[in-house]
Amino acid sequence: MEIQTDHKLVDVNIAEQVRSSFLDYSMSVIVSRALPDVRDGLKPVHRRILYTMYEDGLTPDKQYRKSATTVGAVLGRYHPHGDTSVYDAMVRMAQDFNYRYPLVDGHGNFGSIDGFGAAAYRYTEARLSKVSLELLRDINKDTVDFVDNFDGLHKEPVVIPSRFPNILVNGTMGIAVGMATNIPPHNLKEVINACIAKIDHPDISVSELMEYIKGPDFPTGGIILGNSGIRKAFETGKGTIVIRSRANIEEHNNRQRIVVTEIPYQVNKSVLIQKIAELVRNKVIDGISDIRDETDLSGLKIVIELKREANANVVLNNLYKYSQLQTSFGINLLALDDNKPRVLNLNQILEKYLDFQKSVIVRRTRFELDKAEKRAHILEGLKIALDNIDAIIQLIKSSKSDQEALEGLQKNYDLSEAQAGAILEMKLRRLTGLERDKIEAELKELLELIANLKAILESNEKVLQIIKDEMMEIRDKFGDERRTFIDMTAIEYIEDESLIPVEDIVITLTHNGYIKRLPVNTYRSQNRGGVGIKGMGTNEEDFVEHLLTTSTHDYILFFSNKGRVYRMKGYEIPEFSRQSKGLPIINLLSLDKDENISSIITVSPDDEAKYLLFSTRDGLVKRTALTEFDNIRTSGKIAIILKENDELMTVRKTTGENEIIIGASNGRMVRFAENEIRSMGRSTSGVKGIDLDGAKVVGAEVVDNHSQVLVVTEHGYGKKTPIEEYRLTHRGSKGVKALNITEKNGTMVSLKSVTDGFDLMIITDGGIIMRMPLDQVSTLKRATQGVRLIHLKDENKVSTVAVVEQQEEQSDEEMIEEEAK
Amino acid sequence: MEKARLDRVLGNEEIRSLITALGTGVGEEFNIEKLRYHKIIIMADADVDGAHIATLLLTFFYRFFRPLIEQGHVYIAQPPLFKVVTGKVAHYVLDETELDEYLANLPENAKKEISRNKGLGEMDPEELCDTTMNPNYRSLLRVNIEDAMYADETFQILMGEEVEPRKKFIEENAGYVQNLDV
Repeated sequence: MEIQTDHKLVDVNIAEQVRSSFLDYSMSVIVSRALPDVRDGLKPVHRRILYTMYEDGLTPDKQYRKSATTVGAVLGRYHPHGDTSVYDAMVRMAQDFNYRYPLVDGHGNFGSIDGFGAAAYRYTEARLSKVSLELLRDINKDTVDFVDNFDGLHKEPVVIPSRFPNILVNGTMGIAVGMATNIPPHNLKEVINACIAKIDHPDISVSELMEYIKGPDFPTGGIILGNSGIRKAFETGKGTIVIRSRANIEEHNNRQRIVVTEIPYQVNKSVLIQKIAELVRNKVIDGISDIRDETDLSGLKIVIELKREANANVVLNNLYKYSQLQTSFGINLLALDDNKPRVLNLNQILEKYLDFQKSVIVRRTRFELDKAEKRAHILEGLKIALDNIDAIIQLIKSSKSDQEALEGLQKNYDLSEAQAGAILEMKLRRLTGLERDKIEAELKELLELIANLKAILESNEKVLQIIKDEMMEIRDKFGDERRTFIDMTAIEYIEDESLIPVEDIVITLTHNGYIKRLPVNTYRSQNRGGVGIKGMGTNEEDFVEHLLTTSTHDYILFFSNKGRVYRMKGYEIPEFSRQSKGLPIINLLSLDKDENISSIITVSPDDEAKYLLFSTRDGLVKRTALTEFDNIRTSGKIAIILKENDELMTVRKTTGENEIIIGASNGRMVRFAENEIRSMGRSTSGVKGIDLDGAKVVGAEVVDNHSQVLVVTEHGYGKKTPIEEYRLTHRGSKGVKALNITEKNGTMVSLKSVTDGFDLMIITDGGIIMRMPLDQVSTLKRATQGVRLIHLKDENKVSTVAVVEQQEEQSDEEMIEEEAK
Repeated sequence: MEKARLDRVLGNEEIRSLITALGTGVGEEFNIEKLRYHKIIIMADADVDGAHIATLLLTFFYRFFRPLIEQGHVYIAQPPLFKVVTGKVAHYVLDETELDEYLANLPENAKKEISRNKGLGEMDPEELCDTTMNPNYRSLLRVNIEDAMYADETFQILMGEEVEPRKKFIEENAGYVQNLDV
């Protein structure tokens, strides 16, 4: 065979080539793969499966057919893609935990809510479900357009009649290129009632529609917290809702336990249980002694056994916070409208759907009218034949051929070819008197039908009435009670930041790395006139090392000893009760194994501070503008580049005109003006702050004229000295003596800038913690050896010193203001 | 950044074989003198998924082997989408426009058989060779970088980390789409 091709070489510009190919690909994915049509709520693959099953007669009254038959037919006729994509879509349509009203009736293993997949398609069987016949109803009455399939051998529908609003009723999700859709399922009865209301009052508001559609209704039940997210989604097409499991607290054998009977939509039960077990193992959640899956044929049931001392409500709340026992669902009502992707609000969806239904009814009526008119025409012919039957028989008998009889009838009795043909086809039994009456009766009926059909086509109201009647029929046949409860009393869990109130909060971080947030007012009222030991998780082993006040909307920067910085907003830190110690910070920030938080800084828009001052163990200092930290997340970034074995000690806010002190283990301290350090970028390592002479930095602070310098030594000695005793020197100098080091007091382990009214915590390497009011530390001259603060036994040395909130006497207001400075 | 990306790319075995076949080495070791083939032809299905694969490969060459494109070594094969058999002649055309043109010029009652090749796999090996690979018959697109800034911008938008510019591009250009796969 001779081959003819273009055989040409064309130069193309890479950018143009990539642009046009990318556009072809992404638009193809958008319009013909990932997104549903607003009219029937189906993606092409779903539509092709349902239509193929319909064509093959796999209706609910027939026996099940092997899934492989359908998958093969769908691929061969309409869907030239992978077989798994077809089977997966078919399986999902059969799963009663994915589809609120399953469209496929599956037989065999169709997978489970535990994430197990269906058996291979050679094992399972399927047919259409009853409700899906309502989607396909009237498809053979020219109600929708058909187009050629990929090889031109078959015709497929571009949309199916969808006699109920499947787009909302079953919902859908899909990821295209640059956009995605996520439509939750809704209750059939509610959606149809809303459609009827919309037909009766075309300019109905979303609020009024919400009297009918309360919100999504998931096949898996669950509880939606509040309805502001629903309202937003219905009004704008986008909104977030929070779904909670249905859980009850029960008494059992003198202990409490939590019994979960419904879980949020699209949560995998076995993964959920595994994750809860992990939370318990990692001590994120306390109080759980056992967790069991007791799901059986009577329904889903997860039992969480609690320890005797556990507070069930606290445990449950923590489970909501940290596990998929509560999830959020981002509604995005994106669908194809006239083959273009559009985000639609509830009113628009119903409007598009009802417009489509109108066209379905009009086209069906035209189809039926056409059919009735054709039949009436034939009957009229038959009637004429019966009126003249003897002559007609004579005419036929005398005709030489079929053709001659046909023409003779047409000519002599003024009949059409169709009528004449029908007369020739007529059976002899039609000649009885009874048959004759039947024809007349049928004709009379047909003429009435024709008049009715014509009246429908002339009246928009009649069309709407039909839509209403037929929808009500579907509603009464398939409608069921709502499964998801919308809890209007629930405190709304808010994803949208603008909905979070701006509130003053207290953040605490303990020495062992537990963090939490408290509202300022709670903190104050619960502490007012506090007598004895306060809560706040201060105990033998742990104490609050950092306490700061900020606002829910302000940023908090966390700096680690490894020189990394992490950032969170105030509200992102979980709220805990005053007594609870909080959450390990490792759960919030991606910290390395031996990485810990050494400094916390709050950043508020009306801050006077412009810079951050960093100082390291090996004497380097760095000053960096606060604005360099505008784009940090909880995954962290480098705040300062550290040399090997060096670590970040402190970070302080400065105004640009502050003075800085740095103390070293050899008892020396420098004091110099901040502007001796030039401002540098984030990923730099800084300059020399103090000449250490082999020693290590033990403290660096920003000071003012009222500051006192606290030093503590390894053998438990210490003192306070007013700042004015230290003269101003320069960056990088050896500094002046801050302490007389002797054999008795040992090297300096800590230097801090303090004001009275706080407590001093001293921790030894033997694990002993001692707490004393700062006022009780003697104020001494600069070059003295200090007084004994703690009596150390054996070889024990002071390892850490912290200045913390006072335990008694001082009111909290004062203290919080102090810290806020 | 670029280096991290290269490490990730090198994690793919097919890409490693491709680089080995080119012979030039990659990154700092790149040496165009060692290029073993002077025509590197991307051959993918004639549908939109094929087009997508071709854009991914072009992105790869653009980011890591730009000199190959600059010196005109990178080509895109043009597998024909339609075949029209009339008598003893098999005529291949690249797209629907060409098909319509060809059919319009045939004698009205010519006996013809039209078939559509969705994927390369739909052709016999001989047919694929004759139509798409044989230098005497094949059509090629030769890729060039006429406007480096425009090319940079294009790859930034379409293949970059940020989604928003991509979305904007799709929205603005949705009207210019040429081939839609149904």
